[in-house]
Amino acid sequence: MKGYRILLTGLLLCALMPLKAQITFAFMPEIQGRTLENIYKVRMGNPAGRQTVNLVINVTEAKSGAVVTIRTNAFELMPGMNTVPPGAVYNSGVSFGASKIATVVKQSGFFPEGDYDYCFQLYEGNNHNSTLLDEQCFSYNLQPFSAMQLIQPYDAEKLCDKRPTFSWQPLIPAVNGVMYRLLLVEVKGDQQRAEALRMNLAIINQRQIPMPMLLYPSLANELVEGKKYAWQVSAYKNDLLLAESEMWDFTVECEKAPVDPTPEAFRNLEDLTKGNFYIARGQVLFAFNNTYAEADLKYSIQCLTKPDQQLKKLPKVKVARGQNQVVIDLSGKSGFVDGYFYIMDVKLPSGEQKQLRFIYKQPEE
Amino acid sequence: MYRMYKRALPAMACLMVWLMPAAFADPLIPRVFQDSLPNDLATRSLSGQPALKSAVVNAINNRTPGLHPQDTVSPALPFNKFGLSGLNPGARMQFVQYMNAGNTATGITKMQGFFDGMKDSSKQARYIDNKLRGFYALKGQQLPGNLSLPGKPENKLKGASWTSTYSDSTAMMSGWWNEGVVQDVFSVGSIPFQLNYSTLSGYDYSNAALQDAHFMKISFNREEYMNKINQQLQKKYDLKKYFLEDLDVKSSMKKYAGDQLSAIKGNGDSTRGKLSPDQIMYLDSTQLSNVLINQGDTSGGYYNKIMALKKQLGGVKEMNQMLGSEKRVKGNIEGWLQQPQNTSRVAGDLLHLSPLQRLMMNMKDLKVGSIGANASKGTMSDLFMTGAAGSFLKSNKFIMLAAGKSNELGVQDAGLQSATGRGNYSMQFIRLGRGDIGSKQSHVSVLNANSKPQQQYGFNTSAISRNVFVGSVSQQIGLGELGTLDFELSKSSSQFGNNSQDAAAVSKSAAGQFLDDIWATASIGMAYNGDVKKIGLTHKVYVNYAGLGYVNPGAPFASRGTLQYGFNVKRTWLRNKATVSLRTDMRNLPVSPLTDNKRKSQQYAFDARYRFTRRFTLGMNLLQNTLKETTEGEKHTAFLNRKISFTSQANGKIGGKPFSNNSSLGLQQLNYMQPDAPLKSLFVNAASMQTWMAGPGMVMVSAMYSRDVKNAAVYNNLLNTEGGYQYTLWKLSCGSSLIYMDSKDVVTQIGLRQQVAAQLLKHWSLSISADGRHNLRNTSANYYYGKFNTAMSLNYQIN
Repeated sequence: MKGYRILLTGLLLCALMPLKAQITFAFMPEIQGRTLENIYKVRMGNPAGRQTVNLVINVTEAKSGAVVTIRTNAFELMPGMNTVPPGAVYNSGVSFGASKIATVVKQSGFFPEGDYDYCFQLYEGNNHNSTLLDEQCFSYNLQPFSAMQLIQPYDAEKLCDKRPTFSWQPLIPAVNGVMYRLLLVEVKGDQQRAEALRMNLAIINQRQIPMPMLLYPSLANELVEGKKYAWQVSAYKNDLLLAESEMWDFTVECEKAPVDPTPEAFRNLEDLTKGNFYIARGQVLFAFNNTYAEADLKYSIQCLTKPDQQLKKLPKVKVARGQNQVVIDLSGKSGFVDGYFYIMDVKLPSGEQKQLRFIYKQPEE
Repeated sequence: MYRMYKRALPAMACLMVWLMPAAFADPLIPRVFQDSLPNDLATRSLSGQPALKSAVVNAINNRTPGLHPQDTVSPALPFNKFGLSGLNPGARMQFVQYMNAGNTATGITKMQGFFDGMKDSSKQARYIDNKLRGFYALKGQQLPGNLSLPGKPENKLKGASWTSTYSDSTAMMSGWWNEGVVQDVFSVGSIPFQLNYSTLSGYDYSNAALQDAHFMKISFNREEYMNKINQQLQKKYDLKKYFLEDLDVKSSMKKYAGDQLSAIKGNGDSTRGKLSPDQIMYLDSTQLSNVLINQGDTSGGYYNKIMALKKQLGGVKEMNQMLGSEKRVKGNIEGWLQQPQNTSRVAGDLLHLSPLQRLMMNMKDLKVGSIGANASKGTMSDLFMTGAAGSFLKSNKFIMLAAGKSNELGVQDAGLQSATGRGNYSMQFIRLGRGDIGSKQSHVSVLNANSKPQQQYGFNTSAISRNVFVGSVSQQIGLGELGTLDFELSKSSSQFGNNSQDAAAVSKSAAGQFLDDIWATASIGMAYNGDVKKIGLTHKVYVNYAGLGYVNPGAPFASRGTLQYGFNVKRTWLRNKATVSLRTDMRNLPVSPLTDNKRKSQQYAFDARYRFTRRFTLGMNLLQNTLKETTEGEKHTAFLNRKISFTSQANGKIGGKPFSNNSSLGLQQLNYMQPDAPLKSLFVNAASMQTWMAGPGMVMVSAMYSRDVKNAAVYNNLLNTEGGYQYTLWKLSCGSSLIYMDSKDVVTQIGLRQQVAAQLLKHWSLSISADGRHNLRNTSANYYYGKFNTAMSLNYQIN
């Protein structure tokens, strides 16, 4: 069907060719026929001299009839390739048909699905009813572009991957030669993502992506933990931007490693045994001086709140000669319940026995 | 630049004029910020609590030295009328001084007139009471105090940076990119602003000309302003005193009662006056009357004076109430006073602020220049424009104004011209109502936009004259424990060709046709957000509809012609040890108002994570995204992305040295059914990154492998491995890595990456990175993979 139409147009052109010096119209309905904002980007080849003209664009749909008529102001048509000058476009008169399709076009500026004919008529001078210099029609069975929905990383997601893979829905219907461009920037301080994508240096500004997916480029620096990033995908063909996705953002955030206790947190075992219940946040910390050879620390723990509770598989702790800072990590061990009371028997390498009473507290997550 | 401000200024002016009435109200009219105070503090008002007032008066008298001969001229304030007869003359003098401070002579006359007039005496009393508390809280010898904010203009450079990068990746738009940023804080009339200037430049894709963009943004720094006000408040006032927290109400009242009693006694003979202050305070008037009768003190003068004193002190019930509230308030107030945003609320009463300063106290934000504007999805969202935007919230009344011009393309799009049909607009926006965005609210918004042709980055973007009008209603309802319900209704209306001389076809404005084509041009959004804290459950359900004709230049990426719905449920167990979430997003996208042809996008995502210990976490992610087309009853799947992946995060110690590891393993099915080149791939993905401390530095090894088992995809068959070491050399922190990369049938590279960062002097830092590759093998299919990438960044930072 499509081929047939092109052939027909070609034949028509051939038939008209000998009559006079032709003004040719270059129009890509698969791109420029999608929106009202683009129809007037038609280019006109003028083999003759300079003349004052005006352009009338008529768009009709096979089932619904008249959709829209655009009548531009008069402009000068120069020899060679021409586009309609912005002033003539801006002051165009636009009228719409009465169908549902015309309503959608009138309101949104986008053409819905349909079998359209785009006719360009160039008239002499200022008047839309004066001598018709030339006319050319293009037809196209239009399927509107889909919204390119982003897929991963999901909006506002937190992820640990510093070289994430990006994926999104492709632009359909597929246009021959369409490529994707992905832009990734850091969102700084109190910036909004729209600001970041416009104003910040891109970490990735990758064009010519053929598939709706991008593995993190090997050459780009990896992302930094704790920072927020915004990204957006565009589809383009040659130098024409066809569609843009929404803007999404994500934050790089990994599980935090448990923080090593600071030396001040270690109190002398002597003091602890004399004192009242010590609060153990996930771990029991104490310091003592060992004058004997290095050995495994012998200790056992009993639950005071529920004395029948068995506490096994306690972590092994090595003590060296000299001052020791002992960490007994109890978090995640079975039998240790937030708020329960425990008593720990420690047998030091010297043979000395110490008892330490503590309340177990689940560490902050 | 100048043009930008020429455009922004009228918008600013409009903003100011609109907000003037509220702010420029006569500063003499009493405005006590009752509604902004916590309940306990609001009850600390002196009105209706004569006992408390007496205590304050008493405390003031105590600190005021006795009468000076020159102070004998009684100041012209009706003290008795306001129940301040107890103030001694010295205190009266100073109080009037305090009241007059910061006012001009005419202002003082006006104030006099205000107090002499009889209308609305309760308002007057409230004003005086509040002033009295302020006077009482005044620190040291501040009189005749300068209670305004320090007005000296300030300017301070906060930081500056310059970054240049170069990359020879073939498909980057430009090799060179530069970013310069200057941040400056300044204050005018004590109001702090932040100025950000940044520039971004790169080369045109096709030509070799430098394309640059400059962005200037001036934003009101609210946080800094609140701090400033708070500082001044704390300097001039003892705020605890303002809330009467320091007052030992009971004993000072007792003293006051005692003083008054002896004064009364002084008039009579010595046989009288066996009444104690306690009796005056704790007996009600009947009991007191009985005591007096029993004592035989019924003579008119004395009896009446005692009863008047009792009346002044207030009833027993009130007294107990007040003493009770005193206990409650103490402690509460301490924490409240530590927040600048709290204390600054009372600043309007205590400091002498100019009308503009008062206005800015309630300004949530104000930005001028190249700015992003956000309000809500159906009104203004992810919009970037050149103009001004500000929002104002006072007494729960909200107003937001924005005006500016949007540009569809940025400098990073240089070399591209738009064929999206979205265009550039100049627009004006107003949103007003009750409540703040993001909390309980009911707002109405209006946006008016006109298309504008534009010349940018070598392309003329022409436009047909078009006017778009969008009206919206936004509502958030609190459902208490159940969560919140958001509702937004938006409706657009477009008119083309307003500028035409061809008047027959054209109407004047889109607003005039607002009610046309309702269903085609409406957008409705509903969302329910809730949580059940007890079981760690959060959930969201949403439905959005937007007609095929809906268009909103304020939300350029808003969907059009969709029916969207979905939910998101997340539950955590065992103190966040286990997390599971399920999400669905469905979109029905009709392509025509005439047929049933449509597209359907469906996404399901399931995430689970379990933290075994604080050192080891496992996760799983399942995802399916499909895009299906229905054409004349026939369905087909145009796109399918199905993925399962497992991730692990571990960290801990090996041989006493910390290490961390992140790994993932995944399987991904990707079907992309283009008519001419259908693609069906099945990828295996594996990635692992390991770091550990070794010697003075840290070793880092990572590997990423992705392979299409079906051999259909050209790209994305990739192996990338890196091994590196991070270390400190002299005062430089360095990182060196070796890289091997192989993209099957495209390119094979080995490379070296070197990073150096240094802190110079006190405020400067410099970081340089360079990555050079050698192609072991290269093919013509290589669009992506360049051989060289370098970045240099110089930073100057204060603080």
